[in-house]
Amino acid sequence: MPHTFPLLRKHRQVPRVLLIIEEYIPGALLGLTAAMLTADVIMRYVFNRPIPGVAEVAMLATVWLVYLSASGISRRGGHIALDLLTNRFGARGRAIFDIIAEVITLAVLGVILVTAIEYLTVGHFVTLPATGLSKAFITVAIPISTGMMMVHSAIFLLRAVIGLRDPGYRRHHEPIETEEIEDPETRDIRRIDSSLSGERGEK
Amino acid sequence: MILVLLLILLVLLALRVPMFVSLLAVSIGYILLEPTGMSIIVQRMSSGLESFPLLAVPMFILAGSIMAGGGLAERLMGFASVLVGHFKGGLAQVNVLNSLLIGGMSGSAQADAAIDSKVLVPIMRRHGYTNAYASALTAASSSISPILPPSIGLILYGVLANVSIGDLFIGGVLPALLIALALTVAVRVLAGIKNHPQGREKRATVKEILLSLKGSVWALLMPVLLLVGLRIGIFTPTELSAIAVVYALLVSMFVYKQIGWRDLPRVFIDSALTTGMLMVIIAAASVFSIIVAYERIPLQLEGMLQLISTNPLVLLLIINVLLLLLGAVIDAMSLMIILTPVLAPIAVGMGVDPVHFGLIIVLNVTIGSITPPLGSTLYTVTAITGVKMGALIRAFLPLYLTMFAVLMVVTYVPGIVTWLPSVL
Repeated sequence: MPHTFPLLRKHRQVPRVLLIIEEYIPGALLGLTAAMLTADVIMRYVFNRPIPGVAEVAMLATVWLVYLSASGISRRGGHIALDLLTNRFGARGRAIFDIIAEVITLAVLGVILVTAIEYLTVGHFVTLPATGLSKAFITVAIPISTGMMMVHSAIFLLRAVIGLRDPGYRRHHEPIETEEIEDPETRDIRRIDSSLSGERGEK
Repeated sequence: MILVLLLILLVLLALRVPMFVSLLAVSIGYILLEPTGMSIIVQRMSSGLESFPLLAVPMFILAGSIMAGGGLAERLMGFASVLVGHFKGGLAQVNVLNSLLIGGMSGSAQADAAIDSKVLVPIMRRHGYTNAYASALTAASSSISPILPPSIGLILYGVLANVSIGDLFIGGVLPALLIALALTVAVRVLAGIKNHPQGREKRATVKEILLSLKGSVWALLMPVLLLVGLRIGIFTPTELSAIAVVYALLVSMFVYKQIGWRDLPRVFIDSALTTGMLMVIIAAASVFSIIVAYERIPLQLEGMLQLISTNPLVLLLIINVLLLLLGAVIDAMSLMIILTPVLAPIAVGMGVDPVHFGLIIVLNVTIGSITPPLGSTLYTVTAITGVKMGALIRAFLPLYLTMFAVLMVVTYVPGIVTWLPSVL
């Protein structure tokens, strides 16, 4: 039965604004970086006129894309972690491990968030030479991402606490790839199998 | 001090704390004990990513995603099958050759392992292979990808050790072929012992081979174009990575016509998420490297190593064992970021060629990542195929020994790495 509080539901609808910030914008930044670097290569080698500031803007875009998408990965429960040990436990054991992991995560991200805000408040930032932007514009991605990751971590923590009483508790994980071939009996597997065996495959 | 910190790091990892958080936690703990401002953590989290050569990482991830999304993996499997499928243990041979072909466009062991686990392992099981053997072989053969250009591991090493990424890419070609050859021999021997079937009943005709080659030639050309582009010396690896993206887009959209404009946002988003997942670890490991610098670990380690032996051959063996052990529990990229600034100066001081040492490090951490029971790539395979760890370890042992033999050859025969960059 779905949980009464929408954020704690296993298959909650992700707010569109989060999808925009954590997935669409990083995807667009990646495309922008690729386009800028390609345009620079063409301008440099074909027209002998490199585009000034491309390296700087590409690095800036990359830092933002990394931190925004890192938050998206947090929401999907997909950060690289070793769960070989924790998977050996039952639902309650897994929930306890998740509580410990999320508390540590919240503490670490909390320290980073406070430090980053202090640093942005009192720090002196150099100006980037080609674009004239303050380096603070890059650094501000860190507290934004850390804050959003803390929200996701807090939700996972609450789910794990509730999961202590749920015999079917499993940690939420949403893989990056949308197309998964999971069932050995799927049509794709049969078709590829036929093709590898040199037989005529199903169409 | 460093041993305590490493112990804490391992405990955090065992508790399933994400890798980047674990690295940051240990770094924060260390900095709290030192009279250093905490702001250095934030500075490092930003500056660790501000590197022009590092931009090649998201670009090659994107190029690989576009190529794989365009149905290319299937075409390459088909091509591998017509070449080696008729041998005894044919599907196992296809698994190895397919990894070599996919390695030329993905650069990541995880990506290759995931594709083979999802598609080839079920097919191998249908043809009488055990899940344990098919899974073990998939993990072992995935180790080719990080050695073959465009390798994310080699880009990282190049950035960290200030070594030519072009030379590293070219230096990786022969070791990658050596791994493929060694696994092919191991698979053939095991096929004889375990009586594995042929993948195809008869050898493919020349026409079939040419048809299959026609279908996959554009994918096969990608690593060739990368190497030529680098060797001509006009493009930097980052520029080349952007060209690789354009090439992948053109091939997938207009030649194979398996990706349309509508699919592009999903491909870009998936690649951005993969980039975020990997590069946030790079940022955290940059913070962790503060400990390496403050504790003067390179000097300490060099002193310790010289107490054991001054013979470079012995020292390389010790470094190999150390990397294999750590690689089995710590993510390959994190380990490289932490240890490259420590080990590269020591190795160069011993007279080891920096390009050669780069391949040694990348091969070590790659083998570490497929080492049971904690290797991250191995974990990807077990998560998808559902194989039991005990059975996997038994099936993996002969393949692991093969990989170890390759590592020893690459370590003690430097020409395998250095010859190609010197003649091209």
